Amino acid sequence: MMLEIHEAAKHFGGVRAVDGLSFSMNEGEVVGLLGPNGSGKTTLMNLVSGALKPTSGDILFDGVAIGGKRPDVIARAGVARTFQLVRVLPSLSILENVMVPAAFGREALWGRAAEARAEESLARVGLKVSPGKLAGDLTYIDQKRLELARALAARPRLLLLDEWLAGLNPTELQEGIALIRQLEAEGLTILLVEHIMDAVRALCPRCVVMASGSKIADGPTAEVLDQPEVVAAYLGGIDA
Amino acid sequence: MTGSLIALAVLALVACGPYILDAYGIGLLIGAVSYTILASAWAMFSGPTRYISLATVAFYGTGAYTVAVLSEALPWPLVLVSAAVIGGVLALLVGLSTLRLAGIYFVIFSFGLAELIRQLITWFEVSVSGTLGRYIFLELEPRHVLWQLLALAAVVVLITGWIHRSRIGLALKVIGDDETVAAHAGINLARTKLILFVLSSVLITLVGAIQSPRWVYVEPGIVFNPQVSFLTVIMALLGGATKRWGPVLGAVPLFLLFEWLSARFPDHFSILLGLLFIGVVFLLPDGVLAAIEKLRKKKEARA
Repeated sequence: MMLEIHEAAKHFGGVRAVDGLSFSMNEGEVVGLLGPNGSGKTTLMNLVSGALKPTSGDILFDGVAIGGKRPDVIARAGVARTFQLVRVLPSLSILENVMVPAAFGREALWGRAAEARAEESLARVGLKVSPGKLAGDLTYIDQKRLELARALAARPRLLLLDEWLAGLNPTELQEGIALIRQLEAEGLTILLVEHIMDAVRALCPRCVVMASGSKIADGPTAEVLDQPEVVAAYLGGIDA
Repeated sequence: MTGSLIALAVLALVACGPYILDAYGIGLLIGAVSYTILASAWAMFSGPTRYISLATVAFYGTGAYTVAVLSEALPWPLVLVSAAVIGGVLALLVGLSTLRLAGIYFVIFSFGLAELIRQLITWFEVSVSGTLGRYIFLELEPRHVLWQLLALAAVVVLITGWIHRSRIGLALKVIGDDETVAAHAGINLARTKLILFVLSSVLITLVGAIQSPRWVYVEPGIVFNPQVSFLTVIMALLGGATKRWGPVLGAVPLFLLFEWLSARFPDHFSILLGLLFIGVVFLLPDGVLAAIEKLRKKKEARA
């Protein structure tokens, strides 16, 4: 198993953002994490990446417990992520942005090797801008590309994408989907939070659906999306 | 690289000062070099991390007091090593307990730290050693103090040059931009900040130690003067704390300005200092260098 989540819970005071959730992912699997706003998807991503510590439960990455570890430790173990609201490092150049995880990740590349890795990652996401330019000056789609390139630069084994496709126009969306498809074909394990159903259908053979912090469905995408509980959750039936 | 070489050449030039200047001139050089090092060391940690530290005088005073206590027991080089070690251990303890504090809480703590150390030493001197105030009798002339400060300044130039080229320099830039991204890219936030805080504090402690023979008579109220912390901050901010040569550009002119102001308006010096502080923070929040860059960009955009 690449990722195993056992009864993970995160409580903020009285709010149970994630409430005893379990599922696991095999190596090379691409799983969509769905659910209405506020159902705890991003919180779950934060528990896996180490941005938040679980209140209880276990999270195992490749058999090793990572729940509650620091984000830099989890990153060096081979987990990379993008953020729901795109986060580039505005005062660093594009190349430096992408070099960072290569320099501080598992392989600890430096100098020419780190630059070469950054260039390779930039080429992979199709970012064709002068790499010396400041990241803060990029357009939105290019910032998204840059964030993905940065996540890939550490050669992660598990990639967490938090609404990476949100806010793209139809052409960009098609490009984005093709890009993730290509990563899938290369055998990368990907957990992605996504609201765009066409993208979910195109990319994820399997989906896990959350509502109010709990898992309400888990299985092949087409079946899951037809389940009455899922339909009700999205239309507001259960939460309301 | 060329920047470092030019800086080292300037330092060598200043080292010739004692052969042409009178005592007052040498005193001015000592002050200017001291504050240049203080502002540079301060910016080394506070520039990229944006933790505004008012603890400068806590370390500066610790350095001076170490000399006051040890100068007769140990040879001078060992006194300096002791000061560096004491400053480093103090910074390590303070860093481990406070670098988790965010923003304003860190500012308040760092300000309190100087006061805490001052009170601790006062208490110790009064109730244990029985005297408040010590004399420093060392056969060090002002020019020797200046040369030692210049050597320390050269070390600072080399260290900042090394930081800019090394992994820790990149880590600092990332932390300055976005701590969350830094952590998720594999950067150990606590360790990086701690290394820089200790390094910067050791340098500040050494400035206090090296120039302490200038005082002759030392007591906590003299060496732990909070004005040192405030001057350091304002100098680094004026020049630009995130730019490599920013602190130098802020420290030298401001030090000379303060010297002139305190001689000319001794009664109103604090008021003028406060006004200057407010002015810098309001008008040049990122420093002179950043402001010049912005102006240049605007001109380019218009052209």
